Amino acid sequence: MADSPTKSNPSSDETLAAAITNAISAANLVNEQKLTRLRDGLAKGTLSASDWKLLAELALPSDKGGQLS
Amino acid sequence: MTMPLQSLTIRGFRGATQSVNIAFDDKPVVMIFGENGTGKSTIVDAIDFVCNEHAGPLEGRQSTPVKDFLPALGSKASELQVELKWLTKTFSATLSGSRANVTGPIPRPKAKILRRSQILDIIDARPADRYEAFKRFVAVPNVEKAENALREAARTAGSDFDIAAQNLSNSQHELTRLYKEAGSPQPDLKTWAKGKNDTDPKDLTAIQSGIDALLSLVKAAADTLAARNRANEQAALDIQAVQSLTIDLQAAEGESEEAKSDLLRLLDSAEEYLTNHEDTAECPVCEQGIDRTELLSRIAVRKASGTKVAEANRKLDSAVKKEEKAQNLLENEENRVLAASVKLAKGFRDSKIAAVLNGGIGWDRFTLFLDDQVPLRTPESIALAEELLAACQGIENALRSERETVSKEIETLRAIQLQYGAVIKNSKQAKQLEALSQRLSALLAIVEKERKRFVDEALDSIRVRVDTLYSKLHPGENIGDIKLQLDPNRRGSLNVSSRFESEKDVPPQAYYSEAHLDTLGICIFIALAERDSLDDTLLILDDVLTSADEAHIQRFIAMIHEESTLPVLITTHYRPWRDKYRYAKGPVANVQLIELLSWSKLKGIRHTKTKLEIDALRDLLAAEPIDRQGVASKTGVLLEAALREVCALYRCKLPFDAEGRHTLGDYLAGLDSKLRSAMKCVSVKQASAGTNGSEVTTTLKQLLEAIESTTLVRNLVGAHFNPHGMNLVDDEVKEFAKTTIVLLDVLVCRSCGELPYKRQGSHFTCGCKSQQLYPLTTL
Repeated sequence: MADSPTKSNPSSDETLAAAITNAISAANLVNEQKLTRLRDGLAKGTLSASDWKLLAELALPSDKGGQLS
Repeated sequence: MTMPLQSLTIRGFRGATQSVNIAFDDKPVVMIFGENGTGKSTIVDAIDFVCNEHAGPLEGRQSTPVKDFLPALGSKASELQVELKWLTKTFSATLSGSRANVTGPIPRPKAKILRRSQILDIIDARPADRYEAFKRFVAVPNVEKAENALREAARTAGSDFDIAAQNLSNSQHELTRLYKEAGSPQPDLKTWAKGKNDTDPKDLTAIQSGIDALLSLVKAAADTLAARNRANEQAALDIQAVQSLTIDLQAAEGESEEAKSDLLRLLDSAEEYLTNHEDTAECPVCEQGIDRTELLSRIAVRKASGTKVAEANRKLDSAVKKEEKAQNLLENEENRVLAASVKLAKGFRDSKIAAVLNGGIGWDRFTLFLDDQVPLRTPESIALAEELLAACQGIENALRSERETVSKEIETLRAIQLQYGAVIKNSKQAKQLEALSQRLSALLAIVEKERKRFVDEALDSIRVRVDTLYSKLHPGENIGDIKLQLDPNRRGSLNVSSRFESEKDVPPQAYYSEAHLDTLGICIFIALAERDSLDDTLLILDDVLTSADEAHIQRFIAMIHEESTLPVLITTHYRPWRDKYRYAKGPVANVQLIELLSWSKLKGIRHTKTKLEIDALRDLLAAEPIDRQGVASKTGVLLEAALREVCALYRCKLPFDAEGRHTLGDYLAGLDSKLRSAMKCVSVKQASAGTNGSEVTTTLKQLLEAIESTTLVRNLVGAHFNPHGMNLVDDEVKEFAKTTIVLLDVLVCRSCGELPYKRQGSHFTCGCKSQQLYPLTTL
């Protein structure tokens, strides 16, 4: 008989949420401090459009002054 | 791996009209064999009832309520009970209404049950229904919900950016228009706009305020002069009235002595005195005694004769007072005119407004108003004030024109600064929204990519597993290459495709035989069961093989033992499958064989341990008195089964028989002397902690020859009535059996109980590779 499969079985949502969070972290698109919130929000489906905007805005460089082109 | 299911006790449940208990060994595979109607499904349903709270395949059929079909014949629903021991834990289930009421610790064990009737459902199901079986591995509803929110965020951010970009364009357009209106000053729009934005409008507003102040001074001076002129006119009228009333009084006085105005005033004073002094008895002037009442009466008579003079006198007094008042007002107004003129003169003289500077007012003429003191009120000074006002009013239009120009400049400057500010603000906002939109799009791209990859990998890992299992069952059959794909055009729809001969990506339902579809369904089921199973899961295959040729049974057995990651409970009514184990053609040491006996309402479900043929022979040998025929017959069958397998391995030459019937003599003759000389068995004991590995080698030539010399016993004692058989002593019969048992003990693996059958290197080996049979081929 073959060996037993892995014992801990996270849900598909949790597994994918972790993978997405890693990819976003590697792309440096969200602040490191917000990655846990991102992963939980993905796994639980609780991230709203405004949450996404806030996560993205917080990670944007602050110096974005306007100018006359 | 061991069997976690320790025991199962069933009371009053379906076929269990009597309480039945089945104890399980720790072997990883259990096979329950029983012909139809012996209770196999009852056992599986009982496990389903406890582990999954299902009432079996009849659940959900409205025509058959659970409370009617689940209790055993003659039993009440309240008597129904299933108890299951799983490792050290006990779980018990009773029927509560139409539902299972399970007691026991959490979590409960799980049973993944594949029934015969469900196999084709997996393959034949509509793609949407098939997806239901897979969705727990590939569905990510929460992530999809968050992904939709992200998509909405990216969309609205994009829209916001578009609006901001439009606002920026509008403000830039307006600024450009203002730039062109200003004559497109050098060097460029940007420099011009920034310069304008940095311009403080206070200089212009100061000019504007200065002009307003001058205009106010002019208006104030004009207003005061107008008021003075009105006062002057009124004063002139009042003087004329006094002169006229004076003439009237003189005329009235000329008409009587009593009407002399000074006498009347004296009489008025005397009357007032006497009225106010009632006790007066003498005249206050001549000090002569008087009759006060009489005197008042005489004064009244004398005053009445001078009424006309009195009226004229009163009018004159009133006119004089009014004239005095008019003179005062005129004086005030003229002083105000002079004060306003001083302010006007200083305001205009000190002004730097162009219109004033260009107005050419000669201030030498108006020095009277340029001192700190307000000049004395004289007709000359008033006339000069009038002259000053006229001079200032002469440049009033120029002032208004200049004011209008300055106002327009201020308005334009403010418009430029407003648009410049809007451009800067909209530019900043557009940049921020563009960056946000781009970031959200990048996030969305990652989420979409990762989700797709996750689903593809999940399906692919299932597909790989299915393909591994399937290729184990059907090696070299030009089928397989299973593909599982989500339908890109339909949500929650899963397609299955495969290879058939040279055609790829064809639907297996269209080309595969029913047996091949069966095994495909089983492989998919096992792959799915493994994927979401924890330690506490039992895989149950309920009568899934009804007919299969010998090769496929052999491969199915190999697949179960070598590939399954879960403990397995098999029920079957297919005797060849069971007999494979009984004749050592499967790793029987790893299987617990249970056999169900015939069922009756009185006896219920009964079971017994399935005895291996060799164990049955040993029991016969140990019995006294010896059953000569039984021993000889059993030995013959067992020997035939073993030699048949050996001859098949070496492709020995046997006499042709259309139905494949051969005798012991045929098999022994097939193993020629050359092969016999080369044949040997090696039992390998692997090294383990504290012990060294070892090998035991046994040649087979002598054993086969010894058996060959005793095979006569089979025919004479075990197969036919033969007088010669009576001449054989018991020891000869026993010798035949014992030699056969020795041969089988040498051939069959002591670890897994299986005959070697796999080619490996220079020999055949059993499933666990502890037993080797040499050589690999005939010499």
